[in-house]
Amino acid sequence: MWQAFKKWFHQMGSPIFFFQGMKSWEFYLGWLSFLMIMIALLWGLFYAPPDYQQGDSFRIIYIHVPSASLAMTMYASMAIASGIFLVWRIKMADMIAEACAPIGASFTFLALVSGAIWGKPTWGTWWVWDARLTSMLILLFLYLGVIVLRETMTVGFRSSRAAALLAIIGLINLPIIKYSVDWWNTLHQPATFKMTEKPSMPPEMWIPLLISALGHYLWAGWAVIRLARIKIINRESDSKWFAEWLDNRSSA
Amino acid sequence: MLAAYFKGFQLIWMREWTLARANKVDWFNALIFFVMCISILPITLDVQQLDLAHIAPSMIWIVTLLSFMLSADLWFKLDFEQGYLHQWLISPFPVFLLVIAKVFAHWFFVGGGILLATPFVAVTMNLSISEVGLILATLILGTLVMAFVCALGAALTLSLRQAGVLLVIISMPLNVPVIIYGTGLLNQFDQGLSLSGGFLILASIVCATITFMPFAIATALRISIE
Amino acid sequence: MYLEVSNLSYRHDNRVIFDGVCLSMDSGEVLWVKGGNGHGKTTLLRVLAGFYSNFKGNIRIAGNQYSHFEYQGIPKMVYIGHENGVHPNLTVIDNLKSLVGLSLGLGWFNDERIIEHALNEVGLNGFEDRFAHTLSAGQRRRIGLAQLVLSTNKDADQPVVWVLDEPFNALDEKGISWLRRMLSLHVDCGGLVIFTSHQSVIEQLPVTVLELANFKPSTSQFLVNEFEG
Repeated sequence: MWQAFKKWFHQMGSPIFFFQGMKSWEFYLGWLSFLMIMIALLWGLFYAPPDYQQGDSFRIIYIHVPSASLAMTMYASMAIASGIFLVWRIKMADMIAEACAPIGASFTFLALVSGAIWGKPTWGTWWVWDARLTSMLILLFLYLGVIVLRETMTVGFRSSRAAALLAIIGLINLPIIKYSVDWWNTLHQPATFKMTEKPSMPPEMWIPLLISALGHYLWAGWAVIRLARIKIINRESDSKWFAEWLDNRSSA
Repeated sequence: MLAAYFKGFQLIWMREWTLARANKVDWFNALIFFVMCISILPITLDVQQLDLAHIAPSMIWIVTLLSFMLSADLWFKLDFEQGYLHQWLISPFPVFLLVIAKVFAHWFFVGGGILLATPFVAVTMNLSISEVGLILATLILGTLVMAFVCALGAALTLSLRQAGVLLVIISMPLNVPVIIYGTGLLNQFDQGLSLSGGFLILASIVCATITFMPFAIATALRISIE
Repeated sequence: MYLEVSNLSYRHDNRVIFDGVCLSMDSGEVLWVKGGNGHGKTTLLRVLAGFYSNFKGNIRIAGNQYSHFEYQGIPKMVYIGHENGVHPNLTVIDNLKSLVGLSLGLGWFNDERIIEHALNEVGLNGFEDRFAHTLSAGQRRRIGLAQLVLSTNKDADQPVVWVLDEPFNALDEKGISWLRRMLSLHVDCGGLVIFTSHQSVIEQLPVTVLELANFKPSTSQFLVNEFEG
C-alpha cells in the first residue's frame, strides 16, 4: 500500500503523467465540489436557523470561513511545493506552487471582502483593524510578493527558484507575523468581537458549514490541478509528447 | 577557523568602509531622503489640533523603513555587474559570512546616518529626551532587522534592471513584525506600561534574523547569479 | 590525475549547453577550450570553477568528488571571467586587495609591497591610487590579471588551478606576451591552467585542446588531443 503510494507520488513528478493522469481527477473533483458547495450554500442560506444575535447576516460565514481557512492552507501548500522544488528540483512541484499562488491570493481576497461585508451590518464598519483581518491582509501582501516576483523575472528557472525561496521565507515568517499582529491588537483594543462561530452552534448551522468547507477544499484542489495542467501546456508546448497528445486528441 | 572567518568579515567590511568613505553619496542620499520625508509629514497635518509627539515615533519608523527599502536596491548591484559578487560564490570564505559583513556595513552607514539625524528630527516634533532615547534604542535594533530583510529583497531582485518597487513589495510584509514590536514598544511607553517584555521580543527578533537571514540571503544570491 | 571530469553535462532553462564532456588534467598541464560563440565555453569554465551545482556527471579533484557546496577551500582556484571584478569607485590598490583577499583567502591585508610588486608586474606601477573608473578597459583587465602574479603555484601537492575566460581580451602586445610568460611560469611550477581564447596565442606550451561543438542530440562533445609547440 505504502509502496503503491510512493510509486504514485514519484510518477506525479513527471509533467506527462500529471497532465494525462490528472484529467479524470479534474472532472470528478470539479463536479463533486460544485455539488457540495451548492448544497451547502442552499442549506446555509435558506434552511439554517438565523443567529439569535446577528440575525441573517451571519450566513456569510459559509463563504468567509472556508475562504480564510483555504487562504492559509494554500500558502502552506505553496511553500511546501516550493520546498520540494528547491531541494529535489522536481519541476512539477514548481508548477503546482505557481498554480497555488493566484488561487490562494484570490481566496485571501475573498475572505477579506466577505469579512468586510459581514462587518457592515454586524458591527457597523466595513473594515476594522483587528488581529484577524490585519493578518489576512499581510498574508495577501505575501502572496502578491511571490506572484509579482515570479512575473517580473523572465529567465527560466531563476524566477521559479527566487519565488520558491520567497514563499518559504514567507511561511517561516507567517507565525511571527500572526503573533505580532495579535500582540498589537491587544494593545489597542480589548477583544470585543469574536468572529468565530460560537462553540454551541446547533448542527443545522455547522453541518452546512462543514459541507461548504469540504466543498471549497475540493474546489481548490480542482482549481490547482486545472491551473497546473494549463501551466504544463504553457511550458511543454514544444515537446514531443505534447505534440503526440494533440495528434491523438484531434484524431480521437 | 575562527581566524579565517574574521579575515573574511574584515575583508568585506573594510572594502565597504573604503567605498562608503570615497562615495558618501551612496548612503548620504538615504539620510537626505529621511530628513526630507520626515519634514514633509507634519506639513500635511494640522499641527495645532494633533499632538505631534503621539504620531512622531511611528512617522520616524515608517520613513526609516522607506529609506532602507529604497536604498537597498544598490547594495549588491554594482558588485554584481562588475563580477565581484561572482567571486563570493567560489571564494574560500563561506558566503553567509560575506553577507553578514556587507549587511552590517550597510546598516552602519545607512542606519547610522538615520540614527544620527533622529534626535534633531525628534526635537522638531516635541518629543521628550526619554522618548528620544527610547526611539534610538528601538531603532538600533529595528534597523538591523530592516537591513537584513531589505538585503534579502535586494538579493532576490538582483538580476533585474529596475527593481525598486518590487523590492518594496517583497520586503514590506517581512518587515511587519519588527515594525509592530518597535512602534508597539513606543506606544506602550506612551501609556506608561512596562517595556522590558517588548525589548526582549525585539531583541529575540534581531537574534533570529542575524542567525537565519544570512543563509537565506546567500541562497538568494546564488539563485540570482547562477 | 589531479582533475578528472567524466560525462559532464549542463542544462539551463531546458536547453542543453554541453553534454558528455570528459577530460583529465594533471599538475603542469594547460587546457585550451575552443568553440564558436555560444557553444558553452564560459559555462563549462564556470562549472569547473564551482559556480553551479546542478551539473550532471563527475568532477573529481585530487581524488575527491566535489560539488560546489563542498568547494569552500579545497582546490585553490582563481577564476577570472569576462567581467573583471573591478569596482569603479575603488582605487587600483584597494581593488586588487579585495580581489586577492577574496580569491586567495587572505582577507584585507595591509602588506602593500606584495600589491605593488604585482602591479609592477602588470605594468600599472604608477596607478596605485588612481580610481578604477579613470582607467581604460585594458588597464582594468590588468588589475584582474594581477591576481595571477600572487597566485603562482608554490605547493606541488596542492596545485593552484587558473580558470581564465578569454584572458587575452583587451590586452595589447606587451600584455599578451606578459600573460604567456605568466602561464608558462605557473605551469612550470606545477599549476594547472584552463582557459578559453579565440586566437591561438599559446606557443611553446604543451596544450590540450577541448573543442565544444554546437550541441545536437546525436553528437556529443569530443576531446581532441593536440600538442602545439
